Amino acid sequence: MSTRRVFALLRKKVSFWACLAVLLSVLLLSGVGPWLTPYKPMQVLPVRAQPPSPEHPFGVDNLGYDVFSATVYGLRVSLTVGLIAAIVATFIGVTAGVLAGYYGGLIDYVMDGLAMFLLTIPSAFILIMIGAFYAAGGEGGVAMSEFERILLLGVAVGALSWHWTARAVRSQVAALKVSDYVYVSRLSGNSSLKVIIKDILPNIGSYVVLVFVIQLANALGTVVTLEFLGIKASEWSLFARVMQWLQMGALIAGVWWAWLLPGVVVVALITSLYLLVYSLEEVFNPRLVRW
Amino acid sequence: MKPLLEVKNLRAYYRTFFGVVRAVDGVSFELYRGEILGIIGESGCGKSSLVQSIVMPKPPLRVVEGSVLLHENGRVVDLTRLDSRTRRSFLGTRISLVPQYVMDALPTVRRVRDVLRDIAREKKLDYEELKKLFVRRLRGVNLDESVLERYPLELSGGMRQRTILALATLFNPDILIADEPASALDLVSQRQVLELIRQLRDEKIVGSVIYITHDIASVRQIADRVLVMYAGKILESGSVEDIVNEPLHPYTKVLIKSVPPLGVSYTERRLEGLKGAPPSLLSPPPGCRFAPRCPYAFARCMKEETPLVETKEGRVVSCWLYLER
Amino acid sequence: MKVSEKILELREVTKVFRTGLLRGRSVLAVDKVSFHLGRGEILGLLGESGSGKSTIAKIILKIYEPTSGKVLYRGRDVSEIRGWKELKQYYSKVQGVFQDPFSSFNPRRMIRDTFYDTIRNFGLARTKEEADAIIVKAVNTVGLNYEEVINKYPHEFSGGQLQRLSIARALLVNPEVIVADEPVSMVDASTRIDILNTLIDLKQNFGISVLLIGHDLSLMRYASDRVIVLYKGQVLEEGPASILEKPNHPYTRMLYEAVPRIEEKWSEKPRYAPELPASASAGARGCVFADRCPIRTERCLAEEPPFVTKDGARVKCWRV
Repeated sequence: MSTRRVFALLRKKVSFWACLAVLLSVLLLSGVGPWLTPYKPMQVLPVRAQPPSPEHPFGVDNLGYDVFSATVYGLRVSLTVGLIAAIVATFIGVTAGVLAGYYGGLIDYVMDGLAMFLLTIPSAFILIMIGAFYAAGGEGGVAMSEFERILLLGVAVGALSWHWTARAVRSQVAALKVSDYVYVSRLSGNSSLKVIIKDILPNIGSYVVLVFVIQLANALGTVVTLEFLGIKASEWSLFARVMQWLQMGALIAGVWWAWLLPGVVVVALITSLYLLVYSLEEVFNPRLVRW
Repeated sequence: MKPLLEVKNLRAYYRTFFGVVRAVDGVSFELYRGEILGIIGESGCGKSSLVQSIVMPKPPLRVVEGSVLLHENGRVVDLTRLDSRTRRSFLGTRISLVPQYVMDALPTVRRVRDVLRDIAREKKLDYEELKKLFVRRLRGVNLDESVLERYPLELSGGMRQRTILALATLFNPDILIADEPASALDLVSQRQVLELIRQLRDEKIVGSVIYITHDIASVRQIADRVLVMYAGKILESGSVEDIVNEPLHPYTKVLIKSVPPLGVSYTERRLEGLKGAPPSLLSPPPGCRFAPRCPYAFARCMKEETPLVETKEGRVVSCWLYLER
Repeated sequence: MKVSEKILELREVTKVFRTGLLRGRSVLAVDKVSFHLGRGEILGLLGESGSGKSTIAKIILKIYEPTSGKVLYRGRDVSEIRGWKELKQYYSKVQGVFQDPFSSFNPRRMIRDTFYDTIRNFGLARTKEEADAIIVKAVNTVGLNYEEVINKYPHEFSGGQLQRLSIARALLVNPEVIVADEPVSMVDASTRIDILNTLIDLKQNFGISVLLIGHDLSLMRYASDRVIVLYKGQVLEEGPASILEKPNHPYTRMLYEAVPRIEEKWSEKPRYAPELPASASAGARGCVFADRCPIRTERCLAEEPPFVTKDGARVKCWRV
């Protein structure tokens, strides 16, 4: 599908624009937010349990943390982990998928086996084990800087979730491989590598974008789960924080702003991501379109 | 003789993202009782859109001008003015459409008898009675009752098409419209299906037939009269012998010449084709639509819409060459 | 008839496809096919769908490997080609044109980039000017204008123009053989003759040998010197192009009777074979056409017929 056509179809979809708007606002929040707030996320304030006010837009929770700061800093961390995971997964997945789809045979067999293996092992289990090694501030954990922890968690999540991408890309590539223009490309003297670069990759470009967005949604979902289980890259990772606030909120019912407002941000993020994927799928898969 | 169907200046356009496609742009013709009318044209000429706009225009296709008059029992009904429910009641009973690719459009998970049941239900008829009629029809096309128990994929292409024709003509429609009924079949099945269409008319199971195709040779075999369509317009019409033996319009001439008679080799005689491509229907050229590719075009052709010239009874050509005479 | 040098020869080429990973179903697409293409001749391969004609084209172009049998180019076994360099050498002599003009070009690249690929890969030019000159010549040979085509994407052309460009691309290397797999099937009727004429011109002006694959009797008769009739992977008849209107094999006759002709209406009712009960044809080792043949005998069902010569044609039939 030509990019022009894709944009033409996307332009009309309200759902697409709505999701994009929400997504971009959340990203903006994470990017710009930290500059908007004078408070550090771990800074304990002299006040407690304050509802939202002009100087504390999200209020202060009952432990003295400014909820807004905690939210925007935490968002940054969690989003970064998710982004790294998505990039890693997409990169490995696309490479594996292209090689397996184009060459088939043994390479395909091996990749299929690996993917099957990844599908069946309980990756959450492995991630918990990894998490145990460097749980922020945990005893017996390896000492690492926060950046290193974010990177490691991101890479670990990505490295365990590329199988879906690989299979999706593999079938696209296998289908493209028998198009006439690939045959013609060979007849024109192009070696396999050139065929992959000139003919296969450009024609799966838009598909890779779609796959990346799906992978991002999945990665963030995984990060949420992990953080709820206590594996987080940083003390102020957002989803873990929200979890804590939820638990606290259950006990001290009055402090609704501590879990509702950040919770809204989390829900908006995940929902808009999945809806974005949904509307993109409609565009890329013409059979889903209702004329 | 009064025609059965009269199409007058029909214009049907598609609204697309890129603009308005003038798929049918001022088409007029008549269909008489008991005749097989062939509409020939190449890809993009608008023949399938023409058929759709006569029978059941669906968005994004819309009829913007013109009328389609069905004459029956002294009454005249303008199909374009009917609402879709009344129109639907015409389908299958008065007018039956066998669209292109219908072979692939049959639901694969239902047996033939289930499709028959659906028809019975929709027309509020007794299934057993309908089944008896259907089996009789099947025999007429060299198929037997076992077809009812089959799934569409279990039948060969030719058998499927004959079954579909039997289904489509159950209610003895006045008009059977077949859009490329034979193009996806092997040669032998093609002949069987085409002869079946002729047989359906000969045995008065259907009243008249509109046969749409790009294959001139097959039109030669079964049609009585022919319309030549190009870029949304009718360029020429006449009896099949006249069109094939004495084509008038330059496009028709090229079209006829591009089908080599069997037995001619390039070593004896070089045939000539046509270069270029049909115009875009988004922004058709002013004047004659064929002018850019026409070897006889002159100034007037490029500027003014061509007139309809009747050279003799029933023979019409839309070309400036014939008005000059 | 002079004996022409055999440029391409197929000897007992067979191709079996296995489908279904573990189920091991096999499809016999090409069954011991032998024929040759002479220098400077147009050989028509006539077959309906399922006849194996496209598979043969892909085997010759080394897109598939034959299950058994040999393909010889100028007497040398094509399966001995090892490595990319030798394969390129083969492609500098044997080129192909495919059926669907719209899928023969990468939709994301301009036509001229595809042309430059060929020129670069085969080392046909040293400078851009030389390359452009070669392209101009090829594009003109197929009846198109260089300026009109050079900066466009595939979707900006019609089917007929794209097919011409496919031929131009094949011509860039100055091949000896062009394998044209149904080159006009997906093109409008009025353009078909023109494209066939282009291929004929290639034979007449440059001595290029053409393997023309298709299913339209009239067009094949027009454009071919000799014709081979294929059915279910086997050659059933081979001879001069005139066998299409003077058929010897019952299958060729069946096609001849079924073809809608523009010059006259169908006259005789064709003879159809009576339906066979399933048991008769199960496991039969006889003629591949027997179950549909109107003049079949017991022998036809039981034994595979040999080739007999009749009227200058080779016919695989017991009843000729």
